[in-house]
Amino acid sequence: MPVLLPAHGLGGSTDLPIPFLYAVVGASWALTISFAVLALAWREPRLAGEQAGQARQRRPWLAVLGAVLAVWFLGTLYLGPDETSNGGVGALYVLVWVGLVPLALVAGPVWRDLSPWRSIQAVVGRLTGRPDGFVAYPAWLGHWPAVAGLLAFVWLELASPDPGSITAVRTWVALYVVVTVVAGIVLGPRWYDEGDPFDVYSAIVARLSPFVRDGRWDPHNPLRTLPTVPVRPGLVALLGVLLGSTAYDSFAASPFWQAKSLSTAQHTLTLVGFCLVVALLFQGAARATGGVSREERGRLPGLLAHSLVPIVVGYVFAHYLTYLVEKGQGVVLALLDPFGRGWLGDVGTAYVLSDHPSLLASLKVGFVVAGHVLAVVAAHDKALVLLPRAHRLTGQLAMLLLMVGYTFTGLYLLLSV
Amino acid sequence: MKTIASTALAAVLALALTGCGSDDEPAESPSTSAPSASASASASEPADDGVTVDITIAKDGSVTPRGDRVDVKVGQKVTLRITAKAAEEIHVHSDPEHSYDVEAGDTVEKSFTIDNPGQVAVEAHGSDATIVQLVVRP
Repeated sequence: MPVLLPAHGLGGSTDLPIPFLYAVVGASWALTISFAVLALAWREPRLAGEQAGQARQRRPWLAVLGAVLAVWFLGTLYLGPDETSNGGVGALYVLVWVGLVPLALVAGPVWRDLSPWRSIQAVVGRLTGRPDGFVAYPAWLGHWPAVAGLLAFVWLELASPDPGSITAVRTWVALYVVVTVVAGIVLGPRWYDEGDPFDVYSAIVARLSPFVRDGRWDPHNPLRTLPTVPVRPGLVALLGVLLGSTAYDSFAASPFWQAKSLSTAQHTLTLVGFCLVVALLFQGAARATGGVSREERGRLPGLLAHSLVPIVVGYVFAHYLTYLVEKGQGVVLALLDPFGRGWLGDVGTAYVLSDHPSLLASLKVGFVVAGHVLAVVAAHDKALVLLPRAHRLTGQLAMLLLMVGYTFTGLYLLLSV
Repeated sequence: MKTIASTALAAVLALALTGCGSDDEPAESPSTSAPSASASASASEPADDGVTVDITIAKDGSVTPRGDRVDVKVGQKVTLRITAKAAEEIHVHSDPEHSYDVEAGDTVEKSFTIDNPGQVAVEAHGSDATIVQLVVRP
């Protein structure tokens, strides 16, 4: 069956396209700043050298809060009404998936503190005397389980036959919980550091937090902590899934795409294609420099991957801000009334953003351009560390053009759908 | 960024000045007779009495149009004129949502207004197809 549920499975209206002028202004800013950075910015690395500190112990009060929230969420999802209006559906799509990003930016890597799955693993590990699991987590596995998990999530939201179906969401969450708990107990806490899609997504975005460093409140320049994103196998693919799927979501709303009748398999292939194109182009652009050996070249994409994070975050904000702020209100209300008894009465949504389309369009363009600028600066600085002196300028060129390409595509999608 | 800022400011001001004036009564009247002109064949036609969207559901369940954009103003009356040769359930994904059941052989008109800017999908639930996207501007 073809799928064409608007607004990511939850129903309701979506954003207006941004006006042409806004897109043009945003694009020219992005282009100008990019080449200004390349031509005029510093010639010696300035942001490198920061070491990631030891991960902090999980804070018990956050673990307790996480357990309470998890019970609330799962209770609503499985015991609440058997329909899309069930608060658990919205909580997964809006609060968990989109809310995770601002939470990590503001509060740092609190997902690992909140994660009830880590708590279960810790308790089982203590009881069995195997706190680090039964099998060592293979290093080559890296982030690949998280890539698979994220793909499974965006497939559910964007390409599955009925993303709003309560049965689909219940099944997905049940599978996720089983895999996460079993893999955590068997492979130890490293599963959560490297393999749990939500934990990893949150930890990576947290490196861009300007407020929290190493789990402590410490306002700082986020471009200094961004390069400490750990380089593990699958990192580029992970960011490719995040950026590619968001772009696919915009693209799927275009009249061109909606005029087609496509099967789930065709939607799935297109979604995977978007993610692949984003990731492979990045692989290519990161390698496109002279004067490095084969092994060095192979390492470049991973070492530059952190610079994609601001682009992902900027585009996620541009794309999902209204969704979070306006749909989020309905979700919170539904969670406060988990069994649909209607005791809250008829509370309407405050359309604080939709009612001001010009402001909203400015915000969206602002997020995309800000993400782009941070990304270009981060890539520039890292290139000064990685590339031989003779190739410092030319070796960055392909990456710069690619980032301009990502940003123009993003603005074009905001403009046209 | 100055342009954006000033455009945004102008728009916010304009909203503040005009915003609260346009509260037309939400017309939710299923009527079976075609009342007025606007006899254009396909998509839409802004007239005094709002926008009319002609929708055809063929015998095999396929719908026309598919995925078209239709411009609408906030508070403007939108009428779906549905000619159905097969049964279908039509959803309007606004807040509040509207759902209309049509039977084979029906020719019906359904009207509603939309209160907030944004894009609202009108969807054929049975064949899971987006009929039109209403582009609702203030």
